[in-house]
Amino acid sequence: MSSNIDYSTYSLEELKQARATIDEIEHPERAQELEERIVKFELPEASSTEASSTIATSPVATARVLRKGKVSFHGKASEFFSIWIVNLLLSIVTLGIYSAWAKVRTNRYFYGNTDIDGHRFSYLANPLQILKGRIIAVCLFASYFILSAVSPIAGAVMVLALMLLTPFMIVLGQRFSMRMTGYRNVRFKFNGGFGGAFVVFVVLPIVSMFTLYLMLPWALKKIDEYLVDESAFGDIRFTTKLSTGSYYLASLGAVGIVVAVFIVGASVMGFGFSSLIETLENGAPLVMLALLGMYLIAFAISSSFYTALIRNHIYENSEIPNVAQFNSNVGVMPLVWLRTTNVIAIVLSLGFAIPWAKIRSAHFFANATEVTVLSGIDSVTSVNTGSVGATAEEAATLFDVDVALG
Amino acid sequence: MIHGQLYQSNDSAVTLVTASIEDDALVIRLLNGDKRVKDERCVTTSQLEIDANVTADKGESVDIGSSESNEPLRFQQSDVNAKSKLGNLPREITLPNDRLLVCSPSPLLDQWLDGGAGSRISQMETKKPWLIASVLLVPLLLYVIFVQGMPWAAVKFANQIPYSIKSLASQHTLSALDYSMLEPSTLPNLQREQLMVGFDSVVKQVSGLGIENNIRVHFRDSNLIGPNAFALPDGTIVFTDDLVTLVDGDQALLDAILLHEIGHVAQNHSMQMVAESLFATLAISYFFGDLSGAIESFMGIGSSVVQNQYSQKHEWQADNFAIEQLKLMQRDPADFADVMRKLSNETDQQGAENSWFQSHPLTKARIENAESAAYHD
Repeated sequence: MSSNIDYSTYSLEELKQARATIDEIEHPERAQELEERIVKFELPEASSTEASSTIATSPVATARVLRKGKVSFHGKASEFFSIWIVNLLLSIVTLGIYSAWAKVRTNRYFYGNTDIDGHRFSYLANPLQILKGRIIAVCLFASYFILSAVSPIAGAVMVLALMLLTPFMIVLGQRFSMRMTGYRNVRFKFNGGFGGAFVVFVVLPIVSMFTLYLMLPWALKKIDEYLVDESAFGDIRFTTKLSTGSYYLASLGAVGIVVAVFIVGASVMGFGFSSLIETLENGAPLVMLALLGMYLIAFAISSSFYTALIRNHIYENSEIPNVAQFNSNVGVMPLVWLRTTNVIAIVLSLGFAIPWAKIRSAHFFANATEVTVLSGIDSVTSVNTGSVGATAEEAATLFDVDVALG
Repeated sequence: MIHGQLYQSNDSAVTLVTASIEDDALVIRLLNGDKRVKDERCVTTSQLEIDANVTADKGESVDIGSSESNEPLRFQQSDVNAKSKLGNLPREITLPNDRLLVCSPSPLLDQWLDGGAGSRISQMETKKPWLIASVLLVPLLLYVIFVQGMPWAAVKFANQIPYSIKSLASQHTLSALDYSMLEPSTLPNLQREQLMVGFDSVVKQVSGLGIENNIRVHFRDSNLIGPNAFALPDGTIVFTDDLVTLVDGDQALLDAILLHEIGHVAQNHSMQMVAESLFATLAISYFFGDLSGAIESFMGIGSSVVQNQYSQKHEWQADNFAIEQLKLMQRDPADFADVMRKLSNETDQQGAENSWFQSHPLTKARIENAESAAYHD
């Protein structure tokens, strides 16, 4: 092994090549040097003049760009498959009890294999915490389920109550998942209060209903803004500035795609199938199947369109001041392809492709995400949040109110 | 010797270190503090100076990282707390005072942290026999649980429900339906009374089930559900006007339907369905939970397919109950086939039948089932 590699003679391409192939756990210091040299190439002013205001997007002039790079995901489908199937077996054999441990191991695998700037994320939840939460959630869910079977009226009242409780659940769920995420031994945090959540998750959507949903994209923007702005890494809050126009573009595009797919589908069926259907004894299944297929195609393209546009927009316009800036370039068609092939593979493999699909998706999103690390990264102060109250929060995440950005 | 990252407890500062096991202790050295390290490895001194400066500024809580203290840190097994080994992930080792050491896994370190054999769960996750056993057992056990276990547990559950609850549930359901999709019957009183007399004699012949006194037949008009009949868990059975009109008020055909609905009541199907939906939803979300996006919506379809299978099973049981009872009453099971045929003609736009996405079995199969019973008679 050579004791010293002189990277100073490398060109930008060679540096990138070297950075892409280096094993950063084996040689973290080399990887870091490479990254610094790459940044120097790409942003000559930023790294040469310290404390300058060359970073236009940063509100604080003292931040200096240290490194810039893609998020890397190190998970392997074969490795995760055996973790997944063994954990599934144990969950089944223990009638679901082990699922709390399985959840922790799965999340640890995905967090721990996600790497920004040479540092891995960690998932910090304790399986017993999660088990307690799951038991409470099962009891609540079962009583809700049975009560609504016994009395549809009581069920309807409970649905209404749950709708009003949604913001509380979302806040609790976000607090839990943020607090259980660590990076560089510093936990994330969610500061959002119930009042703010009630406004964005209940009041604004209801108001938008009265405008024939014309205000809905704006309400969706408010939701995302709330979720990002109230998040923090250690003691430093995320900040975001989202544009209403992007949400209208994404929403109208998504609706337009659905309409277009059905118009195209209907005319194809009208001209192409009509003669075929008449010749068949029973053409109805064909029509049903065609409708189902059209629905799936419309859903796949339109939801991917929205996800890609909005994710890219949020990442580009959010930052942790002085600590990190983000960039996302998810393409619509690659995302459609990813989701469609995942579903097909899972169906054809009778579910055995689930781990492969998950690993593949993680690679896809990591690859599309770029993080610029600023000089404040080394001095983010940890916030001691204690570990009480996690049970209620985990219970809340099980009512399917988990919210995710992109 | 392994490369690692040492994180402080109070902030995001990081120090590049090396870790090794010496004399059964974990020894952590600052990367530039050790002459041998410096010679062997390519170290970017600028990076370490940054780290050293940053950590030195933090004051008393830091005992590694400053240029003065290059003494290695030593920890016994009892001092540290490591998360169990998982795949090929870097090991996360919590040191005293909540500092965190992250370093790539190595056999020596794993052995020191986990003991001789390594953590049991990680053994299972990596050994071939467990992998093969899981691949074979998971589908088998899922099949057994969904096909045998859940229906069995649902029967047990349903039998525990007291009649008062079923009665309450039925009253609430009927009033909710009356409010939303049902209207009072418009059939002539006389016709309804005559049909009731016929039904009464059928119910009297269905003896020995202990539910004879609970069967109460109602007539309702509905534009929404068309020709139809349904049973509520306490024995309330509702016929729609459209159904009576469809069979021209033929008592024999309506009796066959009545017996089918009595079959649902006698076998407690409504309550079983509640339990089966609950179990299936919970099992799918806990076994295959934490899925996202497209996969999740796919699991939603999976869940309704499972519930439809249970529902179809109940329909078969009710059909067979009706056929059995018709035979016992010395009547022709072909009545059931006739009324099913009439229903299927009426609703032939439902011809697009794919048994996976329907709560009821294929009508054709049900007609054949009833006719085969009639033929053997």
